[in-house]
Amino acid sequence: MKIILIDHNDSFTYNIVEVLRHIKNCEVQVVKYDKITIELINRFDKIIFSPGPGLPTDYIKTNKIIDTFFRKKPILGICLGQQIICSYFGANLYNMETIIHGVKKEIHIATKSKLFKNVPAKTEVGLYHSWAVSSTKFPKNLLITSTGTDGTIMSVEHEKYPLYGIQFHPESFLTEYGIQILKNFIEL
Amino acid sequence: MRIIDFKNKVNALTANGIPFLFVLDFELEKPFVCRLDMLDKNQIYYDIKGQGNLKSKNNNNLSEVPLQLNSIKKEKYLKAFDYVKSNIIAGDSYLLNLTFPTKVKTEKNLLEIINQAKAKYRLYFRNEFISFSPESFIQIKGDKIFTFPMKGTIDADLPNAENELLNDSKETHEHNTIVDLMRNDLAMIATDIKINRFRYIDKIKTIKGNILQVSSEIEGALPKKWKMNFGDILIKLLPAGSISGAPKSKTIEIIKNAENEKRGYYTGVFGVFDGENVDSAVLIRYIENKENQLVYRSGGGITSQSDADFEYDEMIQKIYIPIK
Repeated sequence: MKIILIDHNDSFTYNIVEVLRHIKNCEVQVVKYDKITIELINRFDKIIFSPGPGLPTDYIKTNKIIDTFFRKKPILGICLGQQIICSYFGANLYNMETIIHGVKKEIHIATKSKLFKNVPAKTEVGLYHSWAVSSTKFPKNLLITSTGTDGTIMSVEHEKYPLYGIQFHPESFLTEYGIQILKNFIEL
Repeated sequence: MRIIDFKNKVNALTANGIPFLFVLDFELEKPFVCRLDMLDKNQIYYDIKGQGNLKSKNNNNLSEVPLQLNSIKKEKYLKAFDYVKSNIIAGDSYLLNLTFPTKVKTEKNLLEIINQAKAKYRLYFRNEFISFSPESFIQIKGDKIFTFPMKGTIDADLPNAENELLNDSKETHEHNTIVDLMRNDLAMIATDIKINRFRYIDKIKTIKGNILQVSSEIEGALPKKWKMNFGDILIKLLPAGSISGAPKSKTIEIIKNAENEKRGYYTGVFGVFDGENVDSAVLIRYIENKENQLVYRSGGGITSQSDADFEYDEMIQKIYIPIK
């Protein structure tokens, strides 16, 4: 299983790599956002979008990657990665009133999702975000699969294709079932 | 010395088991490396946990020589602080270490101060700067690498100081962030990353009183042949996470705009390869000699929860010389 991890200039990227290193038959290559090309991605089985600073509009190329591959290859977007996926399908983002960086919070998993196999319905996750995906005018093709206790969208997936977004950080030591969630994506 | 020459020299010295000392500045523009047997000639004296060519003399009582401070004006600090805060709100940084120089006056010179200061890591670098740092950067023992990010400080004499510090939500979130950042940084060059100790407390005695500081210990396994490319490993880890922030590259950009001045060796690192293992420190608690004016540099981590007055006071609180 060959995974390409697109690094949006983030400092948690290698925490994801470290989890994937310990998953059997999983090879991961990190490629900086600036260096990414569609041709390169063709060589991989699955795609992960790293977290990162800024907003989806700062990463136009990642939108193109979704456009090219979401029907063909499984994609997982983390934090900014989820926001890029949601924006691509037309969702709006809002700047949160209370910013949460380095915060551990409980989420509620509402829907049965392959991504949350063997993960309890209530679980604690690590959060680093000042923006969130708005649930008003939320795109029809996406499903909300978990929310925070305040209703903040915590994960989404496509109704038909293996395209997943998570607002929290599975690679954080704060996330109880982070390794399981990444493993679920690899084993899809 | 260019960074590429530094890497090559460090790689060669480590591979050949030759002990040396290295010093790197925040901007990675003035890397320095020197064999341990050449230090005296270069007027460089260090002490790492009792080892080194810097010998302490505790004859005088430094507490009788208080530092007179001339800190950055609050308005100027607030401007930088607000700029940083707006970038955090915009999602460009989660944590940013904001620092400023404070002019200090004392009757002592740098060599006299460093001789009297007490710290795990001490460095006298010619007549340019001294650092008496409590903060480890990395240690390598065998094929294991350890890092000890330090975040969170409180006046130890406050009632219930330890609980206050550990239960404070800003301190907790900031420390979580630095632990995730340093796990990431170690994972760039090592595997099997573990958190050995989470938020342990050190007590430090200063002229002004006791303070408590919170750190964590993170471990990773290096490739067996790490001595062949220790120079490269070192550079990949810099600047240190605890004195820059996360995400690192964007945060460093914001720091440069906010501080508007090079940090130089302040918040760089220094360390020693003893022929087998490595121990190193972050160059904080730092005084430099700037055209015969002593300048003490200090700062702290800014997050979305930071209060400007509190951070300003903490920056000044960190201007001290540890004595016992």
